[in-house]
Amino acid sequence: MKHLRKSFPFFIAPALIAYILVVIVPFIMGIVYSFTDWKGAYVADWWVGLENYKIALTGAEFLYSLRLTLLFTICNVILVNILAFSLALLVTRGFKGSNFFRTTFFLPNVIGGLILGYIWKFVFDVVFDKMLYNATFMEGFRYWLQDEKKAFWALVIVATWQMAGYMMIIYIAAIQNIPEELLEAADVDGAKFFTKLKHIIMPLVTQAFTVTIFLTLSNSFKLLDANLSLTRGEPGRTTELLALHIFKTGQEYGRYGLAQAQSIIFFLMIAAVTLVQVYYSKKKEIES
Amino acid sequence: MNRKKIKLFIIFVVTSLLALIFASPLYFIFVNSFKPELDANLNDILTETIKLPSVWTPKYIIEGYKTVNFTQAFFVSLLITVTSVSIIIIISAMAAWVLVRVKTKTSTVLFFFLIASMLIPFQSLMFPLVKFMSFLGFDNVGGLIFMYAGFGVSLSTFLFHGFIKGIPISLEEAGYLDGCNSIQLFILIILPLLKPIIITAAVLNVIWIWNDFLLPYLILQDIQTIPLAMQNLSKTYSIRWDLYMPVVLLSIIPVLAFYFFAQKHIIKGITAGANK
Repeated sequence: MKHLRKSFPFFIAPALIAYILVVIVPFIMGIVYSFTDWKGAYVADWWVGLENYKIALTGAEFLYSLRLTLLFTICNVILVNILAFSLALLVTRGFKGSNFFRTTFFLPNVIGGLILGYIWKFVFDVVFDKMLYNATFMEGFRYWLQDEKKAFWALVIVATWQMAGYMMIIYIAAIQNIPEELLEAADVDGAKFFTKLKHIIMPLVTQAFTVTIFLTLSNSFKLLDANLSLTRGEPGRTTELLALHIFKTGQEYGRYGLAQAQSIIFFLMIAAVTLVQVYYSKKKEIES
Repeated sequence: MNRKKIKLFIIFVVTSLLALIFASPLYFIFVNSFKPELDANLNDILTETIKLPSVWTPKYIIEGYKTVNFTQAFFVSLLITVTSVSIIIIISAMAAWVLVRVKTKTSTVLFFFLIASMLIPFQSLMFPLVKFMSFLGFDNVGGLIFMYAGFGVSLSTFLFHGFIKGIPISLEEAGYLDGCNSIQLFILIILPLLKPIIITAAVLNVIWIWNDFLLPYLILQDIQTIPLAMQNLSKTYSIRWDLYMPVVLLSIIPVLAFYFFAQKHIIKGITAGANK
């Protein structure tokens, strides 16, 4: 297709121009601004070198958010994947109505994170705190969004509810790719379900694990919408995940330069964690 | 055989219970949107949360609808979503096609350059983006659509790229010998062949843009999308559940309708996107 070479610039230009103006230029600007004391539109921005990075890495609130985000991500990756994989196993057993269940489990995913947060705010504040507490007087139902420990788990529950259906779809596709004969042969040999799970199903869906863990990792790290609508980081700033923390540093406190430095640290962490994860999972895939 | 049936039945029950838990938040939203006569302490919602309304009333749905100016929010969301997704599809398909068919080093480099943004979190560039776009005069609906185009090309180009690699080149060569120029080739031959993957990409982009909150929040001043309307409501009225519930319900109806309509394609889309 030699003749296409002449039209190459014409076809690539629209996508490339939009991409460069919207993603690349602001990203580079962001790196530059992280070395300035950018505070808003009409104030001159002075070069401050690594000052913002120093402030970020010694700031108690930022470090708290960082630890919280790591903890949140770990809990979420584990819970989402256990739940999603179990759901996938359940709905591929071939009973009637499996499709209906798939639809239900995936449902939360088409609703945006912001609205999901409001839905669950109602569940925690009214269904739990008012209805269930008044009916049982069990302390366990109280103050889900007002107690910092419970509010953390509330966030995990919402995120798990949101992501599990999506990951389930990926697991289902992988499970359905397992050759029928393998499982039938195991049945003939009298293999128990857990034996089949360990020796046939798990090894054959490792590729799906690479993808789902990658997706849950990066989505948990970047979670903002549901955090904003469910807790706004409250009580205090104890449930403020990194993405929300950076957002507030700029939007509410007007310290854009600092927010940029925080976000570059954030970017480097996500890039490092996801690349390391993909590298190790790929290596494992090849070995198994 | 009988034992197998019992086992299957137990699995069915467990799955049903899980489904019930999954769907219960939506049930609460639904029934509490129609409850009547909410006095100052909102008795019905707070104590009879789980029950169906004693009388079904659209009163609060109507009030919520008016309060957030839902008609406008709906059409703004619709306009932004439809236009952005159409643009993303066209420019990504154009780019992906020449990136596959013109086999040069430049193509390879540009392809990886275009998909690299999948690693960049939105937080790292949102503030400079707002500054830069206001500088260009793009802090409006048109600019927002342009920004979605810029953010959207990575995933869609990636999906189209993978698909076009699997299409034999012979059809395009035949078209070329028949005297088609490259624009005709693209419109008459490539676009029709891409149809399945276009639907996939469109569905994924629709869900993302329709639900997106942060970008419109940062860019738009006095015009509201649906998520913005919901967020504004929560700012003006501190916890008025009788108004919250109906507005949440209104906001999820369009996307649920879309989901039931496009379900098959959504599932295909996720599986396609996962096979990186």
